[in-house]
Amino acid sequence: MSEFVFATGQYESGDWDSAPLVPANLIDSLARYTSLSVAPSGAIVPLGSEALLRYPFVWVTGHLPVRFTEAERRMVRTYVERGGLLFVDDHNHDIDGAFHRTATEEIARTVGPLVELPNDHALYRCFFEFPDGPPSTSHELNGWGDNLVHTHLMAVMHEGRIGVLYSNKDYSSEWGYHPDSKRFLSVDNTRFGVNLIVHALTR
Amino acid sequence: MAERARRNFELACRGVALLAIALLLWRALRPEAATGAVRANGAELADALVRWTREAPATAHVMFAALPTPRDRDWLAALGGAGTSVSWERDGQSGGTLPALALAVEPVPRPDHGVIVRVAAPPASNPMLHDDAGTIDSLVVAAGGAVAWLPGVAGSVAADGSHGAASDVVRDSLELRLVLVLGAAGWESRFTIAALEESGWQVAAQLRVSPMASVVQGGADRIAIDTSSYSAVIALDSTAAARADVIARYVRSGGGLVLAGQAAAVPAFAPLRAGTPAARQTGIIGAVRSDDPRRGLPLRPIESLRRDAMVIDRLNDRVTMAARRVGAGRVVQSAFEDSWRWRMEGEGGALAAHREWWNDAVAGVAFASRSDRAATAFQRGDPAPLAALHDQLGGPSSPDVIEGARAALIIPTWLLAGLAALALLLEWASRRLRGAP
Repeated sequence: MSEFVFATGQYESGDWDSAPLVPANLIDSLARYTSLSVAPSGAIVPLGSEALLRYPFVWVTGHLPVRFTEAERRMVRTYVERGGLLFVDDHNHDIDGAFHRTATEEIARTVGPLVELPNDHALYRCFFEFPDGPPSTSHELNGWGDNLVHTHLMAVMHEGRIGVLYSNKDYSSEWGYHPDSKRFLSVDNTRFGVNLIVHALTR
Repeated sequence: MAERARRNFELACRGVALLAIALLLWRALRPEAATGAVRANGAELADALVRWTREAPATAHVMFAALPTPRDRDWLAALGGAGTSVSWERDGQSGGTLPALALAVEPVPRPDHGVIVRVAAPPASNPMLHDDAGTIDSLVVAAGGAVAWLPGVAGSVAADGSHGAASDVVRDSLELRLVLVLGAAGWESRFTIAALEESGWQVAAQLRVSPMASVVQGGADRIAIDTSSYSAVIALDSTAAARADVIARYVRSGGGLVLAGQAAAVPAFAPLRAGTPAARQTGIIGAVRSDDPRRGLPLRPIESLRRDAMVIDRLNDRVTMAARRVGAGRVVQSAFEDSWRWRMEGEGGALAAHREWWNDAVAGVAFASRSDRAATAFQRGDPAPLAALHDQLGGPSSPDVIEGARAALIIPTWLLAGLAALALLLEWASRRLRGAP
């Protein structure tokens, strides 16, 4: 059985590598909480490459405006049709920033419009329980960004499954620290990241 | 001495004359109705059936060029029941039978409600399949017959051959149940479920995430594994081993099991599997995007097949899929691992092909309770018309019987009359020549 490889999506525009510590941190969390077979290091995969299809879960983040190339659009469309899950997180944690506006436009153009994901979706209870929906990040609660606490994630559904999951919550900042620093947290804030991956691997 | 021989000759002539006259009288009393013989199935037989019904001949013989319609066959059987001795043979072949043609239509345990059509016909023939909506396709019949899967049919299905037609309707409806997927959380589990759900199966799953936690779908942790709940169980890896005993009982009672990849190597499943999985072999790099994507998948070839196992698929010389019956149920064993790569990385039609592959694997073993369905289509013919002909009229007549019947038909009336006259004339001449009165 093939092991899970945490893949970060690389795109031509913007700063795709703005949260380099997130992969290692989530890989660490998966190893801590689950018995899943996980590759010890992540992979970087260009969104316009056919290699994208080797990684059914891909993490995409950034601060800057996003414009997919034609190859990226074509591959992302194929990826979602085949059953891949693209998780896009706005590293700016706002709804009027350059990344949000351009990324949501690009997603809508490529695979369809984003809709609110209900907070009782299986994603929020497949491993850890999140009865109120997506957990808030410290950046939201501190009033940074657009000064809003975003109560929902957005998604593009395909064949009843999540094809693209979009977050304004800035999990890229929330999870962007060395795994050893988890010991300073009273509650591990990467637990929702574990749910993301478990959900992708089961639904 | 000569006188005695002459008297015997006169007696013989009188006997021949009397026999001929008796035959003529018998014919006169039952003219033409005494026997009958027709060739072919067309208007000639239809006319003869009407005539024979009116005249009730002692014997009737039919020479069929093609299998008779159920109407004609039933009519002949009714004549037989009324006292006429009915016989038949293939036209042009003394005592010969007709080429067999038979058809069976059965529902397939798939969510798309397809049917499987099996046709028995002479090798190398090309019967034409059609239903009430029109022509479907022609079949190429090999030595073992022909099989076709159809996504759906309208009314009755018929196969038209050169010597007749066979027809059948779907009589049963199948009630499919859940498919249970057991495995570890991972891409293979995830995409197996996706393929089945996209094909229309209702899927329950229990996917292990940690020793203490599983992701459960469709009540898989609550529903007992039996044929009242599940049509099939798919074991993807060793996590299913904990329920191997229950699964074995389920299979023996009629359930279906798909042992995929690593699961077949689990000792707990050894009594059920079709063969022993060999060591894991990696796929050919890049081949998953080739014409045969399976070459790019890792696999554990099936070796040491059990005697009751049947090979379903091979890749080169390696057995990649095999099946066997266990009790009342069926088990199919697949050698492939990571079939999800086929779906994700394969060329254009890979998504549908992967979906169909899983659909076929499950349909091949799935338990489905059958229930009689009210007839929704008029059956136009018989599933096995030659068998029905043999059943109703017996086999083709032996040549002796036929020759006897033919002889009675062949001697014309004028010949009998002439024979009688000649015999009487000879007797009269002989008597006059010897001076007798």
